[in-house]
Amino acid sequence: MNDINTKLTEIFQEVFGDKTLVINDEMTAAEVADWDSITHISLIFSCEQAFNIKFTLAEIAELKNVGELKQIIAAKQN
Amino acid sequence: MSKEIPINTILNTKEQDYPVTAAFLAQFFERSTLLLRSQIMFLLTEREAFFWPTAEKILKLNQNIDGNPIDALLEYTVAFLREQIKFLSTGDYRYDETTFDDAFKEVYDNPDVMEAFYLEGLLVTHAFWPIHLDMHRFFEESFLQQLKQEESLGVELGFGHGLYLFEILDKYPKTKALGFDISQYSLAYANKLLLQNGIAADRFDLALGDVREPLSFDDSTLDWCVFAEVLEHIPTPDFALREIARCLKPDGLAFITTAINSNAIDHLWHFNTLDEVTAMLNANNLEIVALKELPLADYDSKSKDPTIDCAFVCKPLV
Ligand SMILES: C[S@@+](CC[C@H](N)C(=O)[O-])C[C@H]1O[C@@H](n2cnc3c(N)ncnc32)[C@H](O)[C@@H]1O
Repeated sequence: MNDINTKLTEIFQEVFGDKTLVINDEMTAAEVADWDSITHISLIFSCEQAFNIKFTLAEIAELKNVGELKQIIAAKQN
Repeated sequence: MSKEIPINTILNTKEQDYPVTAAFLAQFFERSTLLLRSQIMFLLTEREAFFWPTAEKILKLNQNIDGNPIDALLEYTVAFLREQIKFLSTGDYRYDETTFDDAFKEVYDNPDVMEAFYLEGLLVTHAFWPIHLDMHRFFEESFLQQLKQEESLGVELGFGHGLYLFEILDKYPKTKALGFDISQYSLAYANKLLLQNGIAADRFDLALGDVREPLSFDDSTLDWCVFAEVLEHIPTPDFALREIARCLKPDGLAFITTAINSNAIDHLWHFNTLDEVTAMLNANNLEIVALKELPLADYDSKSKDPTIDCAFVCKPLV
């Protein structure tokens, strides 16, 4: 999980263009300025490449917060 | 993101007049935590008068052919955004002038795309993407209203889902329509959409056809032509436009749309500016009568998406 957190932080910093961004499990799109449809798909796309996984449509559409994103990634890596 | 507005209150007040749309939105907001949410909020607040009746009409057309519109809309949107993100980093569209056959195989002739989400998803974007809703309003006000009440004949090239054909045939009982599309799945979907929504079978004739080939009409024989979101899909846009200009009557009208700096799962012709499009129309014997430029930035100034859609009403240059 720590590994995921480190990589995911880098992805968020890159996608939002903010090197100081710190993520936490409860963080939702509503709290992060600029987290809109296109940045959302950028995040998904970067995660797919970084972790070598593929998200389903339901996962992409229904994702609630960063914690859930981490769980999905962890489950897919196993 | 726009600020949250009380969705349930809005849906309750609209439920009686627009039951299909209200039910769609209630389910949509339950499912989608993020995708298209701020865009739909925008429609509910800034486009209320046009949005509700248009969404109700489109969702009912789709309901009558047993659709699954929420999934289709989400999947179409995700597929588009994935391609647009690749374009932002590479500057290239998915296909180019030499690879139309790949687009045909992977998209137009592929039921896992066309039947699974493409046709239905694209249909409902005309209500649920602000940029497409505004394009549809331009179609109604600047093109549809201008057609003749008398007996007439027209064609749509690359009709896809068939929404434009429905609008024209529904409003003008004396017009007849022909249609060509390269996809067997578009052909089946649009036939069903028209027939199951009350358009008599003897008023239209849809067939497989390829706009890279000459049109099968004599000069100056068509009263109207629709050519929407096809220019950016074909390796021979100049030729197709010249054919349209040739076949239109001197008082005939064409409705033409395309996208600038906007990749998708099947785009190959990259327009960089509006000027490139207007120059292409003029160079191929079409005079612009009305024009609507729709930059995505007008809807969301912070978005990284550089898409500009544009729509034209044209007449043949004489
Ligand atoms: C983006 S859809 C547009 C559908 C509809 N006109 C609209 O504006 O929403 C593109 C359509 O063009 C069709 N198409 C692509 N290449 C074509 C070609 N060479 N000849 C005829 N139709 C083509 C596709 O099968 C698809 O139905």
